[in-house]
Amino acid sequence: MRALALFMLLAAPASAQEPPYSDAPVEACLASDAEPATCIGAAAASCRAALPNETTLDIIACNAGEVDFWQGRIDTVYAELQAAAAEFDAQYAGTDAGNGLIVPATVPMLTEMQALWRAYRDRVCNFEVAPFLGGTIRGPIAGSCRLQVNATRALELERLQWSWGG
Amino acid sequence: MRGFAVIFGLALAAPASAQELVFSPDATEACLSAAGAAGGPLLQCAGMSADACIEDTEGGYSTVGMGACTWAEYEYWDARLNAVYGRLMAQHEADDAEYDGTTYAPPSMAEALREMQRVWIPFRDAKCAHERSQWGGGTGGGPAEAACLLTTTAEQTLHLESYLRGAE
Repeated sequence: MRALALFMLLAAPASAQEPPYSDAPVEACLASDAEPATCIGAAAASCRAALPNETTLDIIACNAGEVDFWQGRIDTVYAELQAAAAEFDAQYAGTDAGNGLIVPATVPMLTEMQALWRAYRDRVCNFEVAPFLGGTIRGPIAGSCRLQVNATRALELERLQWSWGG
Repeated sequence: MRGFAVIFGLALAAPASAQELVFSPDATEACLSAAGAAGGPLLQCAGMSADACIEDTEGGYSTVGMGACTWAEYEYWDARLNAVYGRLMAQHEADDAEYDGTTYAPPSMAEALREMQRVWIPFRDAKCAHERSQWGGGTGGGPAEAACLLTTTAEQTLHLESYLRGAE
């Protein structure tokens, strides 16, 4: 009896510590015909659905998994956009656009835009968690905010890449 | 940004006096009502009034016409953004005031909102300047920047409207 109680004590936290997060649901949604914006949150939602007695830490872990997924997509597409901008600049920056204007360098603009986006992202999520300061719900709110903002930005940069051929 | 507005405004001034711009926000607003009722994405409605304007204005399909119609809808969203920001700020200032003098007051929501919007503006301008730069000084840059300002301002407006309590 005591051994069983000890076993349960050890077993419970072990299972709670590993939310079954996988990128698969969001990847499958993005690969389908669905509007990409509707895919946001799909992986975090399946992760949570698999945990009927989810704890606050589970929600945080499920959100964090998908935050990382979108951050990875941002990093990838941003690196490609930077490479394309550097190529463009090497060829055209500083030349005459043909109407008396000089073609501006695009790398500094891209870098500036992304730095300003990061500042904006932090403040959006500060605003969203502000009313919950000190509450346990703060972690989940911050995570779902970060997930939404990261995903929106990843999709936006990917659209930019398609239109400008990174 | 302001420099752009001035340049763009000058470019538009001549044709606008020659032929009237036929702009109304009706198409965008009708789309927002329908999409709101259906729970669909609202951002798809951004640009619909500019499209209608291009259709309805004599010479609307010229570069100048398209630019003017896009700019007209951008101004609609900019006014709408200012309106929602004002309402949201008033709600949060009222909330903040209730905590005045209490020990465990949460951080000021009004301040957090102000900070968020303060950094959004340079982000939008940098994003749209970058979009313009993709045209390398070509004539497509102005309309591309205007379209970017329209969409980005619409997105932020809808975002802030989603925070409003008792939103219509």
